[in-house]
Amino acid sequence: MAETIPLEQVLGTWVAALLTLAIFSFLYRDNPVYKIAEHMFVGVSAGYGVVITWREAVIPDLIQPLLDPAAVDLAGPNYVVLIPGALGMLMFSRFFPRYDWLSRWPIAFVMGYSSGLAIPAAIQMQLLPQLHATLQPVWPAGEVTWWMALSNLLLFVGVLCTLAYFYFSREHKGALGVASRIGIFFLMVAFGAGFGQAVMARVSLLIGRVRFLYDDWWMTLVAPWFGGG
Amino acid sequence: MSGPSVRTIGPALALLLAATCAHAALPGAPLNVRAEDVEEDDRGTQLLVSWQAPEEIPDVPAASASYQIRCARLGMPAEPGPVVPIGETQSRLDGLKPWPWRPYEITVATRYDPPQAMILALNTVFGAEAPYALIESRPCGPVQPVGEWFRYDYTNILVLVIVISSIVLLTIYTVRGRAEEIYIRPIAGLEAVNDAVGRATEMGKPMVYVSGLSGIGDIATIASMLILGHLSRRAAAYETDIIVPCNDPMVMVAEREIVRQAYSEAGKPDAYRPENIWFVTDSQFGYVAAVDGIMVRERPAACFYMGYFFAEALILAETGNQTGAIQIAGTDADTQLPFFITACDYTLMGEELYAASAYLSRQPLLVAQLRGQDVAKAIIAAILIVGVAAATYAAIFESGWLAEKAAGFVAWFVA
Repeated sequence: MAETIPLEQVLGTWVAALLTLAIFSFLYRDNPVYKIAEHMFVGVSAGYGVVITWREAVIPDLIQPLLDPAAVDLAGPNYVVLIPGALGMLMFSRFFPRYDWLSRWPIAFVMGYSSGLAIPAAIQMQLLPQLHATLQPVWPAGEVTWWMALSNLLLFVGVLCTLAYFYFSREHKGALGVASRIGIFFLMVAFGAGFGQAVMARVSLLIGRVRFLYDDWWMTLVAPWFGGG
Repeated sequence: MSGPSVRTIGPALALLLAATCAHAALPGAPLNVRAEDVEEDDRGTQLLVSWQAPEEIPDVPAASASYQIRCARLGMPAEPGPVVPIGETQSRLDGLKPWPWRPYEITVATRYDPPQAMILALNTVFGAEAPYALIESRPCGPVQPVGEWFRYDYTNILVLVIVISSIVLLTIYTVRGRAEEIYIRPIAGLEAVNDAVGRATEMGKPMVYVSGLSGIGDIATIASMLILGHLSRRAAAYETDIIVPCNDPMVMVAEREIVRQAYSEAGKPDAYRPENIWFVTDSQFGYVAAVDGIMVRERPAACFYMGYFFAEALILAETGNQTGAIQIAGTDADTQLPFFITACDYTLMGEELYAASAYLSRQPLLVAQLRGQDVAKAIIAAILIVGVAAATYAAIFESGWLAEKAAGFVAWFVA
């Protein structure tokens, strides 16, 4: 019954339902209702992002390590955080056109360390696991059955041919051409499987949203006014 | 009910619970508690706690005894750690933090639990956790694990980083003088970039450029910014507007610099409009809602999606498709590639995005780097062939020197 639901929940459900419908109205065409929802969404999320950054990054990673180290379990003030703090402050130089070149320093720093970090991370998270997963016996022996051996062989050929497709500095002719064409076939099979899986997930999201509109909003808050629910 | 009742064990447990409040070493408390860093733990997250068994463990009728390790940050209440059976005198504490976090104080307690039947009864009747009693040792500490500068279990990663980086650097060094002779296979999506700029110019409509949703440090974003530089030079030459809504404020700053530089290089610095490159929001779907609105209202002639994308890929590409824009996408997000392939005219798949900057600019350094990456790929292909042969040999001939070496070769690639 609508009477037993707390007021804040009723308001929250109404706002969520109306905004959901406003966003769905884009399916028909661009319209003022969609524009209102869009601008609210952008404004609220940008403001929320500022608060989150302040509470989840600036306070625990900069202010507390300096002024209240015990709150973040530190043995004492950690003055190292002054370096990223100072680099971050340089981003504010964008407000002063004469000194806006200073903002290139933090950008260069972030790009530099991220690129450096990405190399070992890519080897650890992508290259090595994929290499090791591919290095499997392709002949039945011991615990490896015929079926497993065939599967391993298919994986090996697929990886090798896909690698050939991404070979850029040689013309894709002859053996390399054949391998790269087989590689693109493997890629498309993988993309097809991924597409199907993702579409299923999206349909499930839509079902969740429609159920919210029907159960939580229409049947709980709207239908009782018309004697239903 | 068979076995001891609450009445039998209650006073004994109550007495022992009261005893836990005292901080001195009591009869029955473990002695000489020590905690030291675990040498083989290079991360600095483990301590090896050892102790000496008490001379006599007081017998509590029907209660089962064990040891419980308790760990407290200096000045904070202790938290229960692992429970160890009586008879053992050491255990590892995991999940700790090295310097500069606060050190720890460790105690080991003799723990008495009521019998299982009573625990079940207490849980069922009172819905509460069954009480247990502790006789705590004297605290040991402050103590802290020590992190090492080098993780030996990551040696294979270091070797591969050195090998692959050396190959790329060596190739750059040897071929950069004749980089213009190096062949780069045609990439359809990049051939179409110039056509897209031409179409926008002819129609007198702007182009929309989306550089993904990851931060400035992501390799895909860096590759995307290099493509944006090329595109901006073409747009400046033809005086076509390019709209760049950004998801990350740092990316926005960098992209403004890139586009400004491109307009200067094209000899049209006055045509540069910084207001066309702006920060929207860092919220994923808030950003998508805004970009969709821009596309529908501005009706761009061309849309570019280059960088790392998440679930918003299809929403963006589908909206762009409905506006009738020519669409070129490029991403290394393998889960989103199917959507771009479906909804866009051209798609750069995975590493094609990284190759784009070399392909478009033909700068000797970038072309030489691309050649170096290809050499590294050829070596990885060779490792695959040798590794699969080794794994097969090791599976067929399970024992013997060569089979062991083959199995060792395969195991070396465990991350």
